Amino acid sequence: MIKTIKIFLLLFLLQSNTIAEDIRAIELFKEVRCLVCQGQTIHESNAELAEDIKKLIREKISQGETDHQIKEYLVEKYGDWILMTPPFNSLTYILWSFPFLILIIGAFAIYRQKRS
Amino acid sequence: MSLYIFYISNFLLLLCLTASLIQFGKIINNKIFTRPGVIVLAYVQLISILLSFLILIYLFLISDFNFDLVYFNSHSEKPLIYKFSGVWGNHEGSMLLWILILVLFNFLFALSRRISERFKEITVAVQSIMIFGFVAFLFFLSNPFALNQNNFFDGIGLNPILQDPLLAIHPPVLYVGYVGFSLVFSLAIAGLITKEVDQQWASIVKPWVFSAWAFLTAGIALGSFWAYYELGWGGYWFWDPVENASLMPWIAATALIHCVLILQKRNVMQSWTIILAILTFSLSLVGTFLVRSGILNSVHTFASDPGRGLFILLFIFLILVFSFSLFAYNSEKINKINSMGLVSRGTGIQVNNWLLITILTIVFLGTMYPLATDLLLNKSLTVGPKYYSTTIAPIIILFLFFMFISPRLGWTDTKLYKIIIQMRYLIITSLTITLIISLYFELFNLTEILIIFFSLLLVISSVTASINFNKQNILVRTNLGQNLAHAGFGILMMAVVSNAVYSEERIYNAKVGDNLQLQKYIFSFDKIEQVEESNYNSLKAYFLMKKDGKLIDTFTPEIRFYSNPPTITSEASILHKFFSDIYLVMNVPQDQQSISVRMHIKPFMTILWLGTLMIIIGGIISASIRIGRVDEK
Repeated sequence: MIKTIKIFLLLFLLQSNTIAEDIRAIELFKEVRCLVCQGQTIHESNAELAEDIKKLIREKISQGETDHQIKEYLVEKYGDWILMTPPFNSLTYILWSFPFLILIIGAFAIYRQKRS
Repeated sequence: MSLYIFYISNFLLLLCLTASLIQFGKIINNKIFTRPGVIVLAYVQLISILLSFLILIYLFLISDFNFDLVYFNSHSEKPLIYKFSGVWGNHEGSMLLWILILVLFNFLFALSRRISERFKEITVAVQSIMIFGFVAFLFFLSNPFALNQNNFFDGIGLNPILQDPLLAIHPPVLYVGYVGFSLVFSLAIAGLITKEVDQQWASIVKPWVFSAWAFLTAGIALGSFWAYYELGWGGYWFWDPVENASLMPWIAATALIHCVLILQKRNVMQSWTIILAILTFSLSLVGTFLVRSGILNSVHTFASDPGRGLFILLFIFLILVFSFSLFAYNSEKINKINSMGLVSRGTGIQVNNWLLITILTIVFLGTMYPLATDLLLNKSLTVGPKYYSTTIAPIIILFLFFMFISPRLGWTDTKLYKIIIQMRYLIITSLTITLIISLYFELFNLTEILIIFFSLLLVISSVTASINFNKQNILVRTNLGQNLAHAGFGILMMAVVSNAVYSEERIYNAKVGDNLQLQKYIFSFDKIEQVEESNYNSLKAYFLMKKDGKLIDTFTPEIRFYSNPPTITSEASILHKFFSDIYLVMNVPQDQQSISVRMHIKPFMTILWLGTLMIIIGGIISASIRIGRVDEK
């Protein structure tokens, strides 16, 4: 009896593990650009290269690599271009911070105009 | 025969070119100006362009492959409607359509009454120089009536992805919007020259700017709806550069229409209104430039020629330099003293104006940044949807709040707490509904909850504001256009957020006989068959959708194989229900045994389109009310 429960538990754990990995994999697929398509992610694409990268990501997940490590690997191999969302770095800091600058300038300008 | 048509059509273009130049010259040198002269020249412009447009339609309908444009973009076996819409499914034809609308607007404006002669003259002069520029561009750089020497037996054909009834009307509707802003721009220039940017000016501009805005909204919505069912990716907005190119003038125009309203009612914010008018039109041109230049990788880019891009870039540059120097020279003289309280409706609109500018900056950066890093630093970047959603979402929360509160504030300083107390039941109701929704649907993301809360607040307050009884229990006339559009925007935002959160998708490799599951529905793969149509062959799969064993609907996703030009497309099969869409699309089979089928549940799509429709109708209502309602307070 206890043995069967143990087996079930083991099976359940294994399965929930693969489900979690599956969800992680799909989330990652949505973050990676298909290099041969027009602005699609590999999740949306059936192209051969996209399928290869999907396989690669699944392998790396099962080897226990973190999302960050996998992304870093892809960027190293294919460049920043492969990530759907640009990371915050020396190339992109204007992209990420400029909107907030605009917002603050506006708030300041409207407040000053109202006070005078 | 073709040779005669060639001469006639090119003559017509030159005629319009000459008429525009004379129009401009006559008005500039206003000593020899006569009003009938302007009208006659406007007639000449309209008739010459209309005739050449009709000739082009005729050439496409009879499939005269002696003309390059017909040869490259049409095919004798194409269905008649797509021969017709194929006229503007290409660069040259769509430019001619653009010019036709431009000329039509100029004509209608020249005929309009109740506008002072001097003011009208200057506006028409600016319009004429614009018509001159675009017709010259058409004639020299993208002539739709170029002949070829070969006797082609048949044409190459129209990209099948563009062979779609919605896409037949999408460009004309979008162009009416874009071109409408050219007239608003000319009116702004006329205002700067006459130094009369006042309530009178706003009343003249209002119907034009509102109808252009409504058309642009409709054009964007049509394009989005087309992308939803035709591209087969399951989404309705991809933050694709071409979509962004049409969104940018829309954002600027949304700010502009509110400024025109303030100007009309309170005679304030003259300079800012003028800047927005110039900005909106420049962005409309940037839209044209982005789509036509070929620097974008997109389904929309059906023409790429650096010369053309350069021309439009130069054109935008000249317009900006000219209008901003004029502005710098005259802006002091058009401004009146700004007298609005800190907590007032005017401030609310100003704040939201600035929030719109911030969103515009985000869209602009997201679109241009990858181009800039690529050109300047030779480094490629992808700016995907997540950049836009994470940066825009917090701004939308503020935006919805000010949209809700501003119409409730007076024009002079108002006590904010009084308004809040006044609206307490409304706030409590929205709060309760939001709580129920978020608990029931297990929604725990603060940004999403806040967007839903403020959207609800906006929708409920807009609806209650439009149902307003006086003491005799008679429904009083309220600002229906505004309330409808605002409620529509709230509904749209709720649908967008819920759709993003609750969309579900499954991908299967399926064989005939398989049963696939998506939530509580079972899809039985019934059969697959080949179908032959006049201009394509298709592989059609049949899926029977069942719920609790009962047949509900049959889905037939298709893969089409077009031969002219050789293209493969995926046709989605969609069931529209009020609360959610079910969306099936199949991909090219990997092997002979199975097909890959993607199934989506897209909640609230119908409601999303409904919200958009409300915005458009609200815009049309506001455009058709000639004089703004006088406030009751």
